[in-house]
Amino acid sequence: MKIRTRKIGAILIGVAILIVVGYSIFKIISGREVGFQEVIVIGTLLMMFFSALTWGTKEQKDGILQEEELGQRIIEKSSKISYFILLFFILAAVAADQFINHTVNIFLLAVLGLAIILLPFVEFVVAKKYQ
Amino acid sequence: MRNKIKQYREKKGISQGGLADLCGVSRQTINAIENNKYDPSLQLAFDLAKTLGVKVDTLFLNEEEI
Repeated sequence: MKIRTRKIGAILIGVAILIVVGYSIFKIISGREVGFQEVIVIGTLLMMFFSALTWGTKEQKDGILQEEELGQRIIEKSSKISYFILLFFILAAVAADQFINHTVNIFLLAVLGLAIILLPFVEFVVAKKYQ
Repeated sequence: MRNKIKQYREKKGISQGGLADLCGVSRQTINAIENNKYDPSLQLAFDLAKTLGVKVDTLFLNEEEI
Protein backbone atom coordinates (compact mmCIF):
# COMPACT_ATOMS: atom_id res chain seq x y z
CA MET A 1 0.00 0.00 0.00
CA LYS A 2 1.28 3.41 -0.96
CA ILE A 3 1.58 5.70 2.04
CA ARG A 4 1.27 9.32 0.98
CA THR A 5 3.74 12.02 2.04
CA ARG A 6 0.84 14.05 3.47
CA LYS A 7 -0.11 11.22 5.83
CA ILE A 8 3.50 10.69 6.92
CA GLY A 9 3.80 14.44 7.56
CA ALA A 10 0.60 14.48 9.61
CA ILE A 11 1.77 11.48 11.68
CA LEU A 12 5.17 13.09 12.35
CA ILE A 13 3.59 16.39 13.37
CA GLY A 14 1.08 14.48 15.55
CA VAL A 15 3.97 12.75 17.34
CA ALA A 16 5.72 16.11 17.80
CA ILE A 17 2.51 17.56 19.31
CA LEU A 18 2.27 14.66 21.77
CA ILE A 19 5.91 15.16 22.81
CA VAL A 20 5.52 18.93 23.33
CA VAL A 21 2.17 18.56 25.16
CA GLY A 22 3.66 15.79 27.30
CA TYR A 23 6.69 17.93 28.15
CA SER A 24 4.43 20.90 28.99
CA ILE A 25 2.34 18.73 31.34
CA PHE A 26 5.58 17.50 32.96
CA LYS A 27 6.66 21.14 33.45
CA ILE A 28 3.32 22.02 35.08
CA ILE A 29 3.50 19.00 37.40
CA SER A 30 7.10 19.79 38.40
CA GLY A 31 6.05 23.35 39.28
CA ARG A 32 7.82 25.14 36.43
CA GLU A 33 6.24 27.94 34.48
CA VAL A 34 4.48 27.23 31.18
CA GLY A 35 3.85 30.19 28.96
CA PHE A 36 4.43 31.96 25.66
CA GLN A 37 6.92 29.46 24.22
CA GLU A 38 4.68 26.41 24.78
CA VAL A 39 1.59 28.17 23.40
CA ILE A 40 3.43 29.26 20.25
CA VAL A 41 5.07 25.85 19.64
CA ILE A 42 1.86 23.82 20.26
CA GLY A 43 -0.19 26.33 18.24
CA THR A 44 2.22 26.20 15.29
CA LEU A 45 2.37 22.39 15.35
CA LEU A 46 -1.45 22.14 15.46
CA MET A 47 -1.67 24.59 12.57
CA MET A 48 0.74 22.43 10.53
CA PHE A 49 -1.12 19.25 11.54
CA PHE A 50 -4.54 20.46 10.35
CA SER A 51 -2.99 21.96 7.24
CA ALA A 52 -1.36 18.62 6.40
CA LEU A 53 -4.69 16.84 6.94
CA THR A 54 -6.66 19.29 4.78
CA TRP A 55 -4.54 20.15 1.76
CA GLY A 56 -3.18 17.96 -0.96
CA THR A 57 -0.25 18.51 -3.28
CA LYS A 58 -0.25 18.80 -7.06
CA GLU A 59 2.49 16.20 -7.45
CA GLN A 60 0.85 13.57 -5.25
CA LYS A 61 -2.76 14.33 -6.31
CA ASP A 62 -3.91 13.47 -2.81
CA GLY A 63 -6.49 16.11 -1.97
CA ILE A 64 -7.93 19.54 -2.59
CA LEU A 65 -5.28 22.07 -3.58
CA GLN A 66 -5.06 25.43 -1.84
CA GLU A 67 -4.56 27.28 -5.12
CA GLU A 68 -7.51 25.81 -7.05
CA GLU A 69 -10.94 27.43 -6.91
CA LEU A 70 -12.52 24.96 -4.47
CA GLY A 71 -9.51 25.49 -2.21
CA GLN A 72 -9.98 29.25 -2.41
CA ARG A 73 -13.70 28.85 -1.58
CA ILE A 74 -12.82 26.69 1.44
CA ILE A 75 -10.29 29.30 2.62
CA GLU A 76 -12.81 32.16 2.24
CA LYS A 77 -15.58 30.28 4.07
CA SER A 78 -13.38 29.07 6.91
CA SER A 79 -11.81 32.52 7.31
CA LYS A 80 -15.20 34.05 8.02
CA ILE A 81 -16.24 31.25 10.39
CA SER A 82 -12.87 31.58 12.19
CA TYR A 83 -13.37 35.33 12.54
CA PHE A 84 -16.70 34.88 14.34
CA ILE A 85 -15.33 32.11 16.58
CA LEU A 86 -12.35 34.32 17.50
CA LEU A 87 -14.68 37.27 18.16
CA PHE A 88 -16.71 35.09 20.51
CA PHE A 89 -13.56 33.93 22.35
CA ILE A 90 -12.29 37.51 22.79
CA LEU A 91 -15.71 38.51 24.15
CA ALA A 92 -15.64 35.49 26.49
CA ALA A 93 -12.09 36.42 27.62
CA VAL A 94 -13.15 40.00 28.45
CA ALA A 95 -16.20 38.69 30.34
CA ALA A 96 -14.14 36.04 32.17
CA ASP A 97 -11.53 38.64 33.18
CA GLN A 98 -14.24 40.87 34.58
CA PHE A 99 -15.99 37.99 36.35
CA ILE A 100 -12.86 36.39 37.87
CA ASN A 101 -10.48 39.32 38.43
CA HIS A 102 -13.12 42.09 38.65
CA THR A 103 -11.00 44.12 36.23
CA VAL A 104 -11.16 44.99 32.56
CA ASN A 105 -7.97 44.34 30.60
CA ILE A 106 -7.67 47.45 28.46
CA PHE A 107 -5.63 45.69 25.75
CA LEU A 108 -8.14 42.86 25.51
CA LEU A 109 -10.97 45.39 25.35
CA ALA A 110 -9.14 47.28 22.58
CA VAL A 111 -8.70 44.03 20.65
CA LEU A 112 -12.44 43.30 21.09
CA GLY A 113 -13.35 46.75 19.78
CA LEU A 114 -10.97 46.33 16.85
CA ALA A 115 -12.34 42.84 16.12
CA ILE A 116 -15.91 44.16 16.03
CA ILE A 117 -15.17 46.85 13.44
CA LEU A 118 -12.58 44.87 11.46
CA LEU A 119 -14.93 42.80 9.26
CA PRO A 120 -17.29 45.63 8.20
CA PHE A 121 -14.28 47.90 7.58
CA VAL A 122 -12.47 45.34 5.42
CA GLU A 123 -15.75 44.61 3.59
CA PHE A 124 -16.07 48.34 2.91
CA VAL A 125 -12.53 48.52 1.50
CA VAL A 126 -12.94 45.37 -0.62
CA ALA A 127 -16.37 46.51 -1.90
CA LYS A 128 -14.73 49.73 -3.18
CA LYS A 129 -12.73 47.57 -5.59
CA TYR A 130 -15.92 46.46 -7.34
CA GLN A 131 -17.64 49.85 -7.53
CA MET B 1 -27.47 24.35 -9.66
CA ARG B 2 -27.69 20.77 -10.96
CA ASN B 3 -25.40 19.26 -13.58
CA LYS B 4 -25.00 16.28 -15.89
CA ILE B 5 -21.23 15.99 -15.61
CA LYS B 6 -21.26 12.40 -14.35
CA GLN B 7 -23.54 11.33 -17.21
CA TYR B 8 -21.37 12.91 -19.94
CA ARG B 9 -18.13 11.91 -18.25
CA GLU B 10 -19.15 8.25 -18.11
CA LYS B 11 -20.37 8.44 -21.72
CA LYS B 12 -16.87 9.57 -22.69
CA GLY B 13 -15.27 6.91 -20.49
CA ILE B 14 -13.28 9.39 -18.42
CA SER B 15 -12.67 8.93 -14.70
CA GLN B 16 -13.11 11.76 -12.19
CA GLY B 17 -9.32 11.95 -11.88
CA GLY B 18 -8.91 12.05 -15.66
CA LEU B 19 -11.42 14.88 -16.04
CA ALA B 20 -9.76 16.70 -13.15
CA ASP B 21 -6.36 16.47 -14.87
CA LEU B 22 -7.80 17.73 -18.15
CA CYS B 23 -9.39 20.72 -16.41
CA GLY B 24 -6.49 21.48 -14.07
CA VAL B 25 -8.32 20.85 -10.78
CA SER B 26 -8.28 18.10 -8.17
CA ARG B 27 -10.42 14.94 -8.32
CA GLN B 28 -12.15 16.16 -5.15
CA THR B 29 -13.35 19.28 -6.98
CA ILE B 30 -14.95 17.18 -9.74
CA ASN B 31 -16.53 14.95 -7.10
CA ALA B 32 -17.93 17.97 -5.21
CA ILE B 33 -19.38 19.42 -8.44
CA GLU B 34 -20.93 16.11 -9.51
CA ASN B 35 -22.57 15.72 -6.10
CA ASN B 36 -23.92 19.29 -6.28
CA LYS B 37 -21.91 20.34 -3.23
CA TYR B 38 -20.07 23.06 -5.14
CA ASP B 39 -20.98 25.29 -8.06
CA PRO B 40 -17.91 25.86 -10.24
CA SER B 41 -16.75 29.23 -11.53
CA LEU B 42 -17.74 30.31 -15.02
CA GLN B 43 -14.23 29.52 -16.27
CA LEU B 44 -14.27 25.98 -14.88
CA ALA B 45 -17.82 25.42 -16.17
CA PHE B 46 -16.62 26.33 -19.69
CA ASP B 47 -13.53 24.13 -19.30
CA LEU B 48 -15.69 21.18 -18.23
CA ALA B 49 -18.14 21.71 -21.09
CA LYS B 50 -15.29 21.99 -23.62
CA THR B 51 -13.58 18.87 -22.30
CA LEU B 52 -16.82 16.86 -22.39
CA GLY B 53 -17.73 18.23 -25.82
CA VAL B 54 -21.03 19.82 -24.86
CA LYS B 55 -22.42 23.31 -24.33
CA VAL B 56 -22.40 24.84 -20.85
CA ASP B 57 -26.21 25.09 -20.77
CA THR B 58 -26.44 21.39 -21.64
CA LEU B 59 -24.10 20.44 -18.82
CA PHE B 60 -25.55 22.73 -16.14
CA LEU B 61 -29.20 23.03 -15.32
CA ASN B 62 -30.95 25.76 -13.41
CA GLU B 63 -33.07 24.46 -10.50
CA GLU B 64 -36.17 25.77 -12.33
CA GLU B 65 -35.32 23.67 -15.40
CA ILE B 66 -35.45 20.39 -13.48
